[in-house]
Amino acid sequence: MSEQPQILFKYRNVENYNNIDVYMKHEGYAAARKALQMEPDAVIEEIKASGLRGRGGAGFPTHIKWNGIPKNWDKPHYLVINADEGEPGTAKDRELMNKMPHLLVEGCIIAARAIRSNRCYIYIRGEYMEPGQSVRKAIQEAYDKGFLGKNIQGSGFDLDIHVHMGAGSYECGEESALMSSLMGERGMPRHKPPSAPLPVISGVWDSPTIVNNVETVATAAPILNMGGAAYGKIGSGRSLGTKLFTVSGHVNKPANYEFVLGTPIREILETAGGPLNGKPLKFFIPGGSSTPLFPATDKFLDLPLDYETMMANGSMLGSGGLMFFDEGVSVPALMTRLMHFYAHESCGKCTPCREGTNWLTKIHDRIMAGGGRHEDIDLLLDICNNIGGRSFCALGDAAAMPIQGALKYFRHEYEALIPDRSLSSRIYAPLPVAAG
Amino acid sequence: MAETITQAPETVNLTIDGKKVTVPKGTLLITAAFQAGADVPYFCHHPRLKPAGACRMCLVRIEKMAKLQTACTVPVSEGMVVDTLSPEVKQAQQGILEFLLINHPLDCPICDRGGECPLQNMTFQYGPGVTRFIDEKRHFPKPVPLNDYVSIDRERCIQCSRCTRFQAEIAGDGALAIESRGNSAVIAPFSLDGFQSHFSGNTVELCPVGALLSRPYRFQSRPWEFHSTDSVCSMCGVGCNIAVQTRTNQLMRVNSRLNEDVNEEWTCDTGKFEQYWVNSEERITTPMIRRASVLKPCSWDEALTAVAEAFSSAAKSSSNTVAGIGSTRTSNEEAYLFQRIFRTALGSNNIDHRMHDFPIRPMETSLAAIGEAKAIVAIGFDPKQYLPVVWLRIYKAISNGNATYAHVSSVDDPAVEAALAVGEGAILLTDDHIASADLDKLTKRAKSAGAKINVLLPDNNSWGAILMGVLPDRLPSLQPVGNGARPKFEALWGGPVPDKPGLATWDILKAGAAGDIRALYVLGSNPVASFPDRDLAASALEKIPFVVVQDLFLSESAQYANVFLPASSFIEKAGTFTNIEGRVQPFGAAIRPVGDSKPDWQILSELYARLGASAPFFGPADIAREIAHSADKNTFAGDRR
Repeated sequence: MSEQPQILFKYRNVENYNNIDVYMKHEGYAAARKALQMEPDAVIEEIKASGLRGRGGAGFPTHIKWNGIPKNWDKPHYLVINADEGEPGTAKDRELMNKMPHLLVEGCIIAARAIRSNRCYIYIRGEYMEPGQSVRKAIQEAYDKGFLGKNIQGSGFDLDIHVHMGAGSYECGEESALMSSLMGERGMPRHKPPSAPLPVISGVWDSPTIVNNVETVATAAPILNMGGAAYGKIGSGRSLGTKLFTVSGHVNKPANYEFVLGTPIREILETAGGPLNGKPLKFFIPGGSSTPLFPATDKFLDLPLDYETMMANGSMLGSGGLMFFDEGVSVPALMTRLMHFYAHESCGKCTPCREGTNWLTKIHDRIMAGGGRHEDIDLLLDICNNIGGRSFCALGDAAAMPIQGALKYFRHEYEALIPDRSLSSRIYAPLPVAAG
Repeated sequence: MAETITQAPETVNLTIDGKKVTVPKGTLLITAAFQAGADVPYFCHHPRLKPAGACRMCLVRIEKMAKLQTACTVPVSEGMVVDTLSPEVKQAQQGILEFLLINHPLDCPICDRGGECPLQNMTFQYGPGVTRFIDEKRHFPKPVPLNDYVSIDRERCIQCSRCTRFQAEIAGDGALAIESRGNSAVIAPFSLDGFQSHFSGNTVELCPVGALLSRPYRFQSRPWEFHSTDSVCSMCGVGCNIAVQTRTNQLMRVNSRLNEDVNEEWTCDTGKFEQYWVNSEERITTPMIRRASVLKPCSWDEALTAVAEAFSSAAKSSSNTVAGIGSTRTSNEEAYLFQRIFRTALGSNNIDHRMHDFPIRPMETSLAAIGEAKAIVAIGFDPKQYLPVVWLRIYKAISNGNATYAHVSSVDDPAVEAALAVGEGAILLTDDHIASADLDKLTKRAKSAGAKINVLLPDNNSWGAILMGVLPDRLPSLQPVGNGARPKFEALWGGPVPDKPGLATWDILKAGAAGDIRALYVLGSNPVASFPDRDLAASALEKIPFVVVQDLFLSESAQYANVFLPASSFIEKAGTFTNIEGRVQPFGAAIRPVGDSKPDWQILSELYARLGASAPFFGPADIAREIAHSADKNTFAGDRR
């Protein structure tokens, strides 16, 4: 097995690491001090050298986003942290906020410095009561030590961080819906280019805004500590550095792990203790429930887990929620559960997502209840095609993609659920279940 | 500011379906596509609302963009190449329409919207021929009344959010909101008290399906059955352009009509829903004459002969003993004819329409200009209640131009001072109850600040009554009875016109109560209910030996009538109304006069003949021609159409 440098999880096992004193004994706030002495653009240069890309799912290069903030505008700039970790199968930000909240707070100071923002909002998923408390406590400690507030550490830089708890909507993890929700509006997505400017021009309260994932911002502190160039030496190609993965499902040691981007999936599986009870695996989902699944064959288990490889093979790195499923799992049953999730979480703004997710759910329910028709399978694909790329935001795509993946590799499982009604094709009713 | 006006607007060139178009910068692609003749289907888009991109129906292909884009949200850019016809685009539109239809009840045969429904039309043009949806549709309780006028059928709703956006962006009250989410999302009133808005009816017209329904119109008619007549609202002085839609000689529905200068395309709820009185069974439709102290039906000839005899014999004794109280609701033609009869046939200037004294002063700006003001103060009245569509202009100024707005009770309110400090672009609004001392004071301050004052008169033809000369001291066009204009009218009318001002309403009533009036003509007004001193009005009408009341209903004043003449409503006749701006707008006859009733002009014309008129008027157009001939250009300028 290759060596796995631990960057975010370096002090994961240090007791009371969530306490600012303990944190400061382990390189804590050194990076923030450094950033405060640097010019904002120099901070961005460090991030550029590190090759850091957004860890929330889309993988957009962080320095480009930060550089997008207009220079010399008299409007305030806002830093918004997306801590609405709602993707099924993902719990990395939860652990970050619970056990190492100062990494996030310090990252916020660095990011705010880089984009010349004096106000930061951390939008935490409503169900994350414990992480919310943990981050609030860390922010208070940082204020007490003079790392937040006016004139931080005599640098002349001001920063206030506010914690905003969501109200329980998956959609509010979508960056523009998050901004709507943060401003007190209904949690619905907002116009994006080419219909409206990017958030870096006009985000919350029509002001330049950066929305970053918790992990992305938390990585800023270690990057400044070790130097961007050193961080950029980890990994390969355009997938640089380490990333947190939530490994769950049928493995012996489900947990959050830190791996270098590009680590083969098989190695991750082995680190997580291998398949649960040695039972053969059937398939896995590489990056949270919205990403298309792969069969657990050698071909796919040997793939390096990085942005490009996943994309090239028809899936996505996503949020890093790696889920393994053994032979006991029915793909249509799993998809039925997922469709219920997406239909429940669709905000209802646009037609394809509101109606499409609902229709996909109804067809799945019917197939599972024994009322499937052969034409339903192509109908599912057609509905997915009618949603994909046509919904207002990515939630519609997120609902369509898993089905497309499932039907690509496990169409036969759907077909097996469809009763043979060749003699009574005009009569549509579930067949009686044979006794015994 | 001056520089931007003189500059030619920046334009953008683009290609849509191979056609080159040039449009102003910032134009939405869908607007440019319409200009290029491309028929892009849409539901949520509305040119007066902010882009939503919700229905996804207007997906088009823009070259160099990864996905299909909604034409209703994308501003055009230079060199854009757009395809709205490719199989890919058609397939996407069909897919969206299929999504919209899976949960739609498709109950078009019993839906009020059927026949004029955008969803029905789009389905016909772009929709799939068969359904692939075999599962259970979404169900909601229905219909749910939202207020007295509007109810909602949530199963038909396609969540286009036109209604919620209208309430938030145009009406400015946010009275409707989306409740719940996803597949369970429903349109609901924001307030627990229901759909609290003066403009709720507009959402019925905006709704692209039959989800928001007019309660009075529900199941009354199909859109292809009724006849639609261009008309002007009779409910307040704004003069909203409306379409009066009638069937079986009854009013079915009032819809708005486009007039950018007046109501754009909106109406208030009063205009849309409170005009069903024209259908009322309580209307009196036969003439009545008092016999043995009881009003009994009689023939028109009998009634008009009695009126003519009573008035001519009273006028013969002294023209000071006859008087007429006109109305702010009769047409210009009728008001004109009324005062002409009094001034020529009866030789009296005892004619008025005012229920209290108020400053007669034209608006200093147009209605549209209110929408561009920088500061607005409404003094002594609430525009939303009083002239609702004026509020839409005010809100436009607030939302588009960031105007300040206050509604205050006194001219001394600090908000007035603050608005005057803005100077040019400040508009002060007041109603006809402002004291003339206050108005004079305000005028002085406004003049020095460069602000404008608009005195807004209340009724649909308040200005008409004034400009047609239903005033004791003024001839048509506000000419004083004593001055040089009188000979012109004498020549036109073929007889002498008294040169002394007559009695105003309050003096008529005082004289009546004192026994000095022998015959009183009440045309379309109701002094017993609307004169501030009701006791005086009642005792006057009691005392006057001969009272004729011409109205639709047996009003409080009609209780004192010796003769009651049943008039027709505004939808039963043609004519013109003059709105608060002084804009003369024509309206057409939508139905025949109900029962034996007659339009006011016809009653007056027949009476005039009995009083000895040499050339009777055969229709409102006859009278209008004479008005146009006699009036100065500014008082009968005609509509711009």
